[in-house]
Amino acid sequence: MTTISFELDTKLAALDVLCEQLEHFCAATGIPKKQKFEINLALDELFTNILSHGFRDARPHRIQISVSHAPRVVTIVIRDDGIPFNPLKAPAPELKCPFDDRKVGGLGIHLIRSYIDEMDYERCGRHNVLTLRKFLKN
Amino acid sequence: MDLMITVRQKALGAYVTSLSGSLDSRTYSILEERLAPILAESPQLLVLDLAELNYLSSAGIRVILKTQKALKAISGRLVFMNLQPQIKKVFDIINALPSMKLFKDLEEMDAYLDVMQKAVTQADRPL
Repeated sequence: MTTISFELDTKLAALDVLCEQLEHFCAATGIPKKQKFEINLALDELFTNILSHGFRDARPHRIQISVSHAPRVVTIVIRDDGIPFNPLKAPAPELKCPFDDRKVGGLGIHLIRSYIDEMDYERCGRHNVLTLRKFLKN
Repeated sequence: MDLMITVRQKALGAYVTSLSGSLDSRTYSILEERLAPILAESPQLLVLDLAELNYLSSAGIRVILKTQKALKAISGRLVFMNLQPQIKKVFDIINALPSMKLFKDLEEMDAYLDVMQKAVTQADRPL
């Protein structure tokens, strides 16, 4: 099993770090471009959401991420000390009406659910701990 | 990754905006700022050429959605071109494809522009 762990600053520029880390990880484990795009997008949406809604103070925080690759599954754990937030309970967006009648919210969480196969949420003390699993099909 | 934007005016009230790189929470405001003066001219047609767009997140989708709404309000059209497979899939997941107009290629866009121009000329012709 290959695992990488890294921390992200609570700044949008940290998305570059996320992208670089995933680039290295996918090159080392042979994860194809398509799955890399999907993992990157899911993590981007989660990270951006934590930045926008997770903190009530202006202090810097660190978001801890670990990514592991075992045969046919990638497991990602995201840990932040923001306000309690369980993305599994976020409402699904309205997707039936035409695109230009849509409200602008909720699309990120929908993309995460589409690209990730399993999600578990736990509140551990002062931390949100979200575990994501993506199965790699042949 | 960065976002590069090229805007070309194809005809009166018709613009092609080509995006290259990544449209996400870091870069969406660049597109918003670039489109604002174009939308202020009340264009009839705005084409988004996404041939070189490699990455799109919900922050980018929100700008596209806002642009589509702004154009609809002035009876303009937003048309897409050259979606890469992973970008097309993002639009598919949020069920946007059925209400998106797509040009297959440059020929289709030119044909559309011709029809648009003829309609303008005819409207200008005195009775």
